[in-house]
Amino acid sequence: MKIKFWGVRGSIPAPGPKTVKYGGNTTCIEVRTDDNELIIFDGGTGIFPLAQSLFPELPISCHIFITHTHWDHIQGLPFFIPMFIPGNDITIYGTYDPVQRRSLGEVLSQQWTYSYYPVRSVELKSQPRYVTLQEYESVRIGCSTFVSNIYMNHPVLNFGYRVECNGKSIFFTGDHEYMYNIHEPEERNHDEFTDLIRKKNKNIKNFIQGVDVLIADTSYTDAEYPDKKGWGHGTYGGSVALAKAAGVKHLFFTHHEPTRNDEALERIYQETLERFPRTEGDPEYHLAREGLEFEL
Amino acid sequence: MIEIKEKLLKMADDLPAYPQSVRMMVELASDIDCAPKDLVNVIEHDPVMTAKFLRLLNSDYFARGIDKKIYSTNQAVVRLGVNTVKNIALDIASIGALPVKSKDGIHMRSILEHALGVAIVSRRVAETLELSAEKKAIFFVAGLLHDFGKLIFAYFMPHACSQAWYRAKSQQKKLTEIEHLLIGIDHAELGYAIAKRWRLPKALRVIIRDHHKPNIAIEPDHPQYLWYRQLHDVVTASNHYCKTVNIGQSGNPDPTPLPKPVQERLAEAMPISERISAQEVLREIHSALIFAI
Repeated sequence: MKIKFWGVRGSIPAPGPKTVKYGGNTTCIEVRTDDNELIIFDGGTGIFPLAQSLFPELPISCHIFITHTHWDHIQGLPFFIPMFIPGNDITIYGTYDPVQRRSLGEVLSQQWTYSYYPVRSVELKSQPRYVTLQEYESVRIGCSTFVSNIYMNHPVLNFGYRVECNGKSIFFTGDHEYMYNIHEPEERNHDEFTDLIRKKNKNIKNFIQGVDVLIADTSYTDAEYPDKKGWGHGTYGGSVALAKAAGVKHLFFTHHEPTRNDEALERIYQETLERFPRTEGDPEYHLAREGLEFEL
Repeated sequence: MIEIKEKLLKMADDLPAYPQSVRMMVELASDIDCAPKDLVNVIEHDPVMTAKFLRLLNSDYFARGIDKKIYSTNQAVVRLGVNTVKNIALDIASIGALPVKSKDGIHMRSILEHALGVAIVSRRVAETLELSAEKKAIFFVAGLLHDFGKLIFAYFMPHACSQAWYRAKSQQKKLTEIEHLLIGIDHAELGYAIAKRWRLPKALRVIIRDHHKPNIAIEPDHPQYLWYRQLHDVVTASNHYCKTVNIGQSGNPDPTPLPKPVQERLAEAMPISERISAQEVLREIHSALIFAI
């Protein structure tokens, strides 16, 4: 399996001379299975250059797994050019909207309306199929690739996805904040909530257990986190802890803060390596950047 | 009877939450700094909001999770996240609000106070049992929802409801008997039918249906029999206690004695008055955030 990062920025694109190395596009990750099946995680702005790279291969069959429908993870979808060219087979997967009781297709179809985009979805030459997934539902791609999911913790329903192919595996968290107790220790609901988040965190850890690659939302330093509590994102310390607990082999830090330039990212990364010196069995730590490729 | 029941089952979808909950939820949700635990406090003290969350989370779409059945607001928060819960609660609040009084004069708040009373007492009794914190929380929810059918009658059939309450009191008869006479179905059966349609966990459905009976109508060889019976006994005893000390209104006149089998099974937890006084129950009810404005 091969991974290529096309967008590693969170919240909003961050182009400019100071972010050239790690990139300013929002989340988009390309996965190629051993049979060259194309899986794409999220349609942030990074999906636009990804789409350009696909022209030599057209027509294509691809599977786009949307972790959640926050803007930075879907804003590039209307620019996924294969949708405008006949003959391409595109399936988009994601979660249900329990607030307005809408399927994934109904949520994403809003992007193709008059106020937001000059093309209506019915005008697309390759109409995508939308699949609203349930938690733990497994999707088979080709003969030997399976993608399954688990709800993480974010201000909108967010799937973390696990890809398995010929004994190799990847897990991408989407956006995720390690759960904490919303009740004070002296409050009546505290103990029940403690039990519940212990169970949830254990479920997540078990779901990720032993993956070769963990790509984790790592927006904040641990020092920044108290001011960002409840915003739905992970920290360097939290991502390392999860990776170690789940016995993963490689951890990629992604969803970089849009205000962090290349220098700041590298400084934080070095500090993280010093804070968590590797011992035997620990994951290797990588800072995701646009253009980075990794083969399992 | 079947026709009325079927109509009420569909109408229940439109049952609004209590005005106190609606007001408080809108206020909290307008504050970006609102504490998530306050959202939980509002939802878990409103039987309509609680039931509607449980309906969503026990629906086909969410039923594949590790937690096969969802019982509590805290479970909803852990499963969906705080912001999703907030937005769903706002959606429920947007339906409208129950009136302060039904068209025929029943104080809706008195029904709520009774439900909360039974919930609080049930939880207190559960604290004497050796159960996990998750399981203890179910007692509160069971108490809160036990009379769910009464809310449906009070809101959608206010005249029949008020007549039933009046006649039960004046004739000193069981409310369920009079409801059968006037409407063709009693609040326990109706509540059970709604809970079943909404796919609430079986434990809660059994309590809603059987809280006026000396025992649960489940075969003793059912794998969950002892658990359901324990829940039933605690809620039945708590319901009886709240009626004797006049916590809210339940529509029943002087309560019949607590069935002997229930008294015997709960011997170690009795008398309930030594576990929690009526004053303490009232204090806890009024400390709920929904009564803060």
